[in-house]
Amino acid sequence: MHITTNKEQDIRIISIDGKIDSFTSKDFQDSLITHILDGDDKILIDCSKLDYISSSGIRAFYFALRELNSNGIIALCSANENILHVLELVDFHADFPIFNTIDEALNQI
Amino acid sequence: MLLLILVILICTTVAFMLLTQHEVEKIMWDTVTASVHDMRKLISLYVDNEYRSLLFHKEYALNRYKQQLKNVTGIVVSDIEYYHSLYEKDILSEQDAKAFALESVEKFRYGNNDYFYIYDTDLVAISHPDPNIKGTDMTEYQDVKGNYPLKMIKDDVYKTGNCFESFWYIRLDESKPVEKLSYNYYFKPWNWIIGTGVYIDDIDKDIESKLEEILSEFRKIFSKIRIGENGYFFIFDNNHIMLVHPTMEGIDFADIDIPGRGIEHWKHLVEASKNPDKAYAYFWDKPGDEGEYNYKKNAYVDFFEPLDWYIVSALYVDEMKEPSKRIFHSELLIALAALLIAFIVTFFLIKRFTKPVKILTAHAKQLTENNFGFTDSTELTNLTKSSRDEMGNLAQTFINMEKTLQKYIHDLKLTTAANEKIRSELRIAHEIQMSMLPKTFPAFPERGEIDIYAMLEPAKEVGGDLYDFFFIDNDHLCFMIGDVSDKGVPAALFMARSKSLIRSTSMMLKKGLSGIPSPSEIISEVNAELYTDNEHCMFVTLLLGILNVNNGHISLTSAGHNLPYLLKEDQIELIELPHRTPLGLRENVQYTSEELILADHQSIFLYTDGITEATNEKNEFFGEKKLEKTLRILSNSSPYTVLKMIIKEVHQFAGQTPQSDDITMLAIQYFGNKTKE
Repeated sequence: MHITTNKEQDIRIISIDGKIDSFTSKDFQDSLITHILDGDDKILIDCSKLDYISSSGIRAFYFALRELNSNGIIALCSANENILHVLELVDFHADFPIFNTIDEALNQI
Repeated sequence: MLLLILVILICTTVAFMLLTQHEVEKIMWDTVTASVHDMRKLISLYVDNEYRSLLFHKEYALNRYKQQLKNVTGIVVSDIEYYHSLYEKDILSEQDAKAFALESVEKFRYGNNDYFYIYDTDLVAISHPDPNIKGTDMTEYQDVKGNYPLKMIKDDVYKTGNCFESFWYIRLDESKPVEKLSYNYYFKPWNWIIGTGVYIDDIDKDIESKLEEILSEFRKIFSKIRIGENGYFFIFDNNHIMLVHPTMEGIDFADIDIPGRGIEHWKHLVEASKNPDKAYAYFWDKPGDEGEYNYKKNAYVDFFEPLDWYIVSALYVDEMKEPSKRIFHSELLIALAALLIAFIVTFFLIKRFTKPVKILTAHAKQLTENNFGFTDSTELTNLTKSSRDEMGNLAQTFINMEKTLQKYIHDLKLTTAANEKIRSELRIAHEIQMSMLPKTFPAFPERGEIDIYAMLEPAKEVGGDLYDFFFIDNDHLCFMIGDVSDKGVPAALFMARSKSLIRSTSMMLKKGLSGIPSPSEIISEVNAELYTDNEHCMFVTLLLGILNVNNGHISLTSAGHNLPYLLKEDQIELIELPHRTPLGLRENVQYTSEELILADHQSIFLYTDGITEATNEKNEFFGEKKLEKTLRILSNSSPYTVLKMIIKEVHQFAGQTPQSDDITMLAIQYFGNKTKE
């Protein structure tokens, strides 16, 4: 897994390349927490190059959500069909907005 | 001269062996002890968790009694208010109204012939079924615990209008006091304190039987966990009765006689619990060599105060030293070989070179003085340069030998320590997980209506899958499958906790509702409980169903789990359920149950993503399509055949690729109601 980040206006964009599984989820979680502690409260995870997410990856999202203040948001965009299927199963969009494209996400966050 | 060199070499080797032996032994000991402390922590956590679920039960039962008392008192008070209103409207005189009210209260009975009493504000009993109490001033009445309950009631109802108070009685033929819980209401217009009480000792009895269930669970788990080769855990209580022990369960610890220590052994253990992190050493038997008390043991005693339990982790000292002994033996071989070579070389060269030998001997001395740590080898290196002959070679050999040995010992220490820690953690996780699953099949040989089969194939890393099934009553089978996020010991503990919460919650709800709870009600309760204190955001996806074996009716609820399949004659159907958040992540989730009917000979099939996410050498998933294709072929087969064939397919697909997640499946086939036929 490889993580790259940049900032557009006040939105922190984190792009994931590869898999979030039980080996890599800790790095992913640390990256999220670091940005939240640095003051970012609008975070968009770009999943266009994400191949797979395991349950420990989902855990990392909820762990980060708890660290975020109540006005903050963590959203996802551009996830592939397999990943959407997994996220749908656990009713993920109840806590994390999911957008089709990065532009749609940037407009609506 | 030769003799001197020989003596120095041997001394060096012996010193070297002794020092490293001591060092390695210490590190091994620390590692093994650390893993014992980890196990102790896990077990304490587990005990604490079970205890909290017990308290939860107790409070639930008590609240039900309180609500019942309040409700029934409401009925009686509204009667009195009715007569009081007749007096206010001048339909009755106050005296008549009071007489009617008293008569209605005296006649009122409920529950187990339970009654109401009325006291005036001087605490004289105006109404009471006991003629010895009626008309008496009860201000100074004391119950068996020395309390003045009526005085306390009067104070409280003046303040808040109503109150709960406990009376303690001793029943005939019993020595323990039992508790009667009363509810009291202050009817101000007539200065009456109206109240009633019920015995609530059945709560304690219920808790005792729950405790017994928990103990038997511990016996199952503890019997499988070993510290080292033969070390084990046991529990005894403050009456020195052995609650959990591999061989002495139920025995009074104070009766056990150990040579040299008399019968005071348990007192020493109790004493040791004051220093739980300090080992208490004693001699005891080892399985297979009983009666001699030859083996030294170290015990750590944890006192679990709420239940007065002493949890003892006892290990055999000789077994803990085993790994370092093995290292010592291999070291000994290497050192002897090195000594032999050095001696032979020296033997041939000694007569010609005396000065370089002095340097060598000085270095050897320095080596021992530094505990084989870093030494200054400049002189030795110079020697290899200045004398480009056999003596120089010897010096070089000496340097090489020293470096190789240092490196070898360093690596050995590190790898042995790390491996030991990982192995013991994985083993505990695996044992906790597997001991929680029902594994006897056929599970219900006397039930002709259903056939059930389930399996869990653990991954090497230990995932957190679970399955379970049990009859809630004679007609309703509760079944479930689940998958805990993450792996290892925390996942196994979370899985164990979820499983026992579901069992206890469904039994508790059944008692509370006096009917069969729906899966969504059970899941909602368990979710709320798992959400509290879940600081690591662990969660479990779960599919929970309840099957009525009389008519094939199933209620199903999913909390973020893979959807199950219905297997019909020659076809299969995905059972669509609303997607909901897994358990433990959010406090309030609206779970709902879906209903379906299993016709005769149809089956339901549940699985975890270990199946669909099994991978092959090309990194492809097994996937749902392949699963559906296999299920379609097997749609008429028995649960056992379905599961065995699917696991075969998955293994064939994965080939040599190691399994990364637990694989779990559960299937139930329904045969219709056999009792009617």
